[in-house]
Amino acid sequence: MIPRLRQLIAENPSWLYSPSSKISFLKTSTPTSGTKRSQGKIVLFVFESGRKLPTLCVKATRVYSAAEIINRNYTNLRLLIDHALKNTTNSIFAKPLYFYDDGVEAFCIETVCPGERFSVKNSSYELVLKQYGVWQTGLAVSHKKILGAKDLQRIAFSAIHELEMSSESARLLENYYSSLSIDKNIKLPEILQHGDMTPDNVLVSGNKIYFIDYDYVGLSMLPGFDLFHFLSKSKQRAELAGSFYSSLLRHLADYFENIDVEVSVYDGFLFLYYLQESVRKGVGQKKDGAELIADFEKLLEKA
Amino acid sequence: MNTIKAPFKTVEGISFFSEDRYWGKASKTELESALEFLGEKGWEEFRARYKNKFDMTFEENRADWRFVVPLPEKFSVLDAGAGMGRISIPLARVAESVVSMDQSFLRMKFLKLRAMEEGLNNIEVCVGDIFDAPFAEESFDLIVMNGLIEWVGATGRYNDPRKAQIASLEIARKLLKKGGHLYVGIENRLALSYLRGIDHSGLRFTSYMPRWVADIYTKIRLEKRYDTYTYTKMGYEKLLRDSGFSNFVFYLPYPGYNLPRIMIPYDNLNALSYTFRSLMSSSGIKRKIIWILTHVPFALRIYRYVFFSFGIVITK
Repeated sequence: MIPRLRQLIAENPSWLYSPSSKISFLKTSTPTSGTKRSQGKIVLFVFESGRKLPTLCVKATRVYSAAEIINRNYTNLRLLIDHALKNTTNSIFAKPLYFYDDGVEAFCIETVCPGERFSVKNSSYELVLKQYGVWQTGLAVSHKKILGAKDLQRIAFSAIHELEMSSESARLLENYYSSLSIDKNIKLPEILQHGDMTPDNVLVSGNKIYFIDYDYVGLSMLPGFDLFHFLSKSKQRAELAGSFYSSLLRHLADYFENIDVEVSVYDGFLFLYYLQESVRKGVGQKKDGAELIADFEKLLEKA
Repeated sequence: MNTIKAPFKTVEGISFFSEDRYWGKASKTELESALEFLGEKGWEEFRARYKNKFDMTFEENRADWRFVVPLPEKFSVLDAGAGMGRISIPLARVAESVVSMDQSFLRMKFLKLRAMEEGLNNIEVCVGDIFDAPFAEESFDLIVMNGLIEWVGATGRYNDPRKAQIASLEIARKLLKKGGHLYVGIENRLALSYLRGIDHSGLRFTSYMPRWVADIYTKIRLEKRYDTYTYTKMGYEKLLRDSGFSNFVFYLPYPGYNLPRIMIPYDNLNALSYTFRSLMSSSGIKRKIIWILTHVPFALRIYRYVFFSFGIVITK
């Protein structure tokens, strides 16, 4: 990969701050990458001599047969940028520069989001939620409110189907969703979600934040999904005011007000988010319907 | 396998170019029993029963250092001291051919079975050590010596362990094609972790000692000479130059050379600082240490000197 990468950089000197500077490579991957054959993503950072931060971020896989991950990441990033450009908040994401695929190896090149790992402090926590809200509000303006209560039920049942559980578990989950309150006259837009907005995928630099890792962009178009995901992943790490449930409701209320959607009850939404999250994690292979409901209620501290 | 020497014997389809010398933390009998178990019960039960035994892994991340090696699209590999194949297997998924060589017949027998199980027919195995390597000059694009150089002095072929190390590197140099790469994964003699752990000699602190002191100490304690030399970065640079190499790049593999999850270019302190600040999650005391390392002048520079191990990319 390095020879092809060096060649591409030489052909595109504008990618670097100083094309004549010496470059070095920092390779990294997540702790679980490679523990199973399907988890194969590798990230290579390109450093220019004398610069504190890397200039380029290159994503690749161990084997070509897994290159679809890279293609999806690159396509998703382009999708984010295309959507973000309409409301000038594109600077919270990397910029896609190049996708290389010669049938033997594939990798994509992006700019680097500057910043340090998010740490759960009140100031950075509020900053993330605020800037995320600005992005989502911008998107909401350009999207019509097309989703009603029946569409939400369709989305919920579709997620239950994707869990591939027994018919008994599926029926239990459908009944549980139907028992939860949701506004009958609700109308909301479909809004692109990051899909994996965990604290690990947020970088903070001064008063700016950046979202990285674009593998699951568009997985959900349901407003509030990212917020639910982020808050539930921060649950153990954040000193949230009051209980997790009340904090979640408070942040969702702010969010829906910003995107100009009237919501009076949230339980149906929360379970819908939880179902979508469970599909992504493949929970259907490990748990039955009753266990999933129990976990959901435990998460909300309502059990 | 293209060899210039005939094997002196072949057992179960595996060629012998040197005597079988079993090595490893587990006993030879244990590995023999495990291989019998594998033959009787198959891979699924074997994986469950012998998970984390015999330096074996089914993970695919142990050869990830290759992403910083400027390899051509098609490349041939010699994995010297291949062990149970934790590097040979992932390399064989992308290389044109891999020759796995190890002194232990049982380890090569396991690796051969594993390659068959994985459908990797581009791996060939043989019993041999680097001094008996039966290959023609300029045969390989990549030679791997991961956790090997520190042990070659213990073979007893040379009176001076350092001379044995130089001889093994000279052989690797001959076997490499022009422009080919040698990858060495090895401990740092000054690694901070040796304060808690045991050196290759089997005793504590010997890597920190002057060689002659370590030699007397091991002779007294273990009745054998001190022959498992590791070095500082400067020491490795001199060793490589004395072996005829002049082009090498050092990396700091994190958490260690046997699991190179992060490969940090040694000469770029900004990359090391970035690794701490942006790639490692931390809390509590660890976060405080990271703050000190990234904010106190010279702290990172000093930290490099006591880092656990090195990954060295050497180009012929």
